Amino acid sequence: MNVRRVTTENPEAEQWRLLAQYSYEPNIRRYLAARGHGSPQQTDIEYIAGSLRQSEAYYRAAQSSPLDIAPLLAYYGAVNLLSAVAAMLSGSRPAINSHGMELVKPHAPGRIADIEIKPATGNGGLPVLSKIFDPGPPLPGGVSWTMEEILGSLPDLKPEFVGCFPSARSLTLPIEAFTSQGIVVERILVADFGQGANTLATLQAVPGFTSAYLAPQSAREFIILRRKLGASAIGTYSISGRKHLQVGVMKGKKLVAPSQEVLILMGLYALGFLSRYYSEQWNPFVQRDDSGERLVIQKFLVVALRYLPNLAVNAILGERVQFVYEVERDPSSIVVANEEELKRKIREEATAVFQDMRQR
Amino acid sequence: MTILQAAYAACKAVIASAGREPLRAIIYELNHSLSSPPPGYVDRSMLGYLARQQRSQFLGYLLVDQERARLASAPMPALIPPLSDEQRNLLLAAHSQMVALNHRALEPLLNKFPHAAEATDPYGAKLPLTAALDHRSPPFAVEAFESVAVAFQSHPGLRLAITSPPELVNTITAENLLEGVENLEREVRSDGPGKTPRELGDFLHSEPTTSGRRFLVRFLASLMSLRASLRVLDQMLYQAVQTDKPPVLDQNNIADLHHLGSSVTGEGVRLLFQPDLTTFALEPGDIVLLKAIPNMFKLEGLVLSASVSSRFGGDGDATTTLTGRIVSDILDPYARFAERL
Repeated sequence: MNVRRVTTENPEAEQWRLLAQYSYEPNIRRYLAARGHGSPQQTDIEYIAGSLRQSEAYYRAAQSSPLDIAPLLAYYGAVNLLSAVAAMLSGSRPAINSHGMELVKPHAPGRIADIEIKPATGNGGLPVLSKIFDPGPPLPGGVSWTMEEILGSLPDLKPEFVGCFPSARSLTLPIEAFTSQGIVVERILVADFGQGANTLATLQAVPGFTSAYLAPQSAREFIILRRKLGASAIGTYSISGRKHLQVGVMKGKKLVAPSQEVLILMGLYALGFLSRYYSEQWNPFVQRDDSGERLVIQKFLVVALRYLPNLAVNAILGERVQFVYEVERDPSSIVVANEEELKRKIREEATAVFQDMRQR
Repeated sequence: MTILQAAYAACKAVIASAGREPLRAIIYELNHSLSSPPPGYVDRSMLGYLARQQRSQFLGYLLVDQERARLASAPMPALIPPLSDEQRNLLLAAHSQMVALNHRALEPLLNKFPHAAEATDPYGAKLPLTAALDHRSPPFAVEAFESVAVAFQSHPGLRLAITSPPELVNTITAENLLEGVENLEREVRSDGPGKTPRELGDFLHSEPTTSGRRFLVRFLASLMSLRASLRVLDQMLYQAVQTDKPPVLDQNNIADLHHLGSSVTGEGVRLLFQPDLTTFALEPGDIVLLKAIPNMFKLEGLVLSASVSSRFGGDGDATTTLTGRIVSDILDPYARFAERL
């Protein structure tokens, strides 16, 4: 996916400005026509415009609401946003008849990380939207996911997640790319695999890893990865554009690593319905959590509110949009030499020195 | 059956031969430090190392053993433990069978121009072996070697050499032929795989096709092509003694690949790969099998390595860069240069 850099001082406002274009009928028609959906139903156009407008309203409400109700508002915003984009991509309103997942009754009091969500199959929101926003295999129905697995799979939650749940399995591996011998090489800090983790087994659990990379090599504190030639790239990206590899989780007999859109949707549903229907667990957590877990949940909401609209923009444009704040400045008079130029300079200097020595 | 197919069949026959295992064991022992050397001697693997530098298969071991006294009095003396009689006899028998194969493959040429023997012999420029060849107990399947030798007689270089004007060829001494082939090969290789040196390119374009000089260079090129092809064949058979399959470079270990060009003197590639157990000890002169990279690089086939360099970044991080020449279906690493002259 190409990267488009958009300069802005306020990414949150900018991404909604980009999305708001598609709350106007002519823009929706042009977009659909460009994708080969030349004669859309008027009801579908209204559905797209209305869902986008509602999602923004829910998001704004969630941002200004306390933690008591913010997750539920954010969930409704997310469902509306993803449904609108799904309609834009497919050309018609998605046939959704339920949430497509259910919250397993929690055993209060307990960790939020331990609450479970059971994805369903059929025409619920989760399976229908997963088909559009997740290139991987469908989530097996009826097999539970814990909130810990969801939180541990999101790149932007990595520091808070590791800090709060040090013994939990880390499911996202930050990549550092560099150039060596003329090719791009990637590496992962061994520490990022988690304490005592089997690095090779962890990498084998990244869906598509063996198709995308040569055998990993160990180099002191890093695991070195070289991409296979001609293979499709894998990985997911943080808000800042850092690539991560996502470790899959065995669900039923399938190794699954849902996309960030799907993970955020599941997480918001879990928190939204926990707060709505299980106040006896949610209220003490909101008011009296002293474990630090609340910080992780708050960060999850921040990420959901900031990044899901960004991912929606990416899906609409077919590009990875990165919001940056770059100031304009005069061109520098300092010329940065590349390796070849440096070598040439050194050769010239050395030749001059030798000639000078001969003349003496 | 093409020469390449016959060569593969001969490799299979080597793998199935009863004589293979004892030779494989000897070569393994001479290249690994399996036991402490006798007092005063260097490790036995030194013999293997020096033998591999000869790039002449079984002959390399025999030559290092033969030259032990000279090596012991060299500026950097190395007292190398001698081969046992059994080892020497087995290596000699294997080398003798290779020599016989080479001779049989070139028979039509050598019948017409016997003085071209040294120039076309892959071992012709090596030190002479003082021990007499021993053809009594060939270790590998004789029929398969006969088949590949007969198939080799369809080599276009052979036809080209045989049809060269005798009045020209017979005026050149055996020594001058060898020297001419050596010089031509050095020149062809001077710019590296995939490149044709400018002087040769100019010669191709400017020298009249009927000039005496062109006839001479064409004849020398045909001899060079035959010798290089036989070297590849000998190396394939030698490698078949050690492993069932050639080392493979493909999408599973190649990190970067450059086509170095396709010229009248052949195609070249540069491969950056992560070595594994089958590829970590590759050396110049080894044959590797390059497989196509899906969606990216269609070229595949045997590659004769011209240079190999390894880089160790610390702990287990290692890469190897290999440049090599694609071997054609007539086993020629210089494509069909002679025919184009």
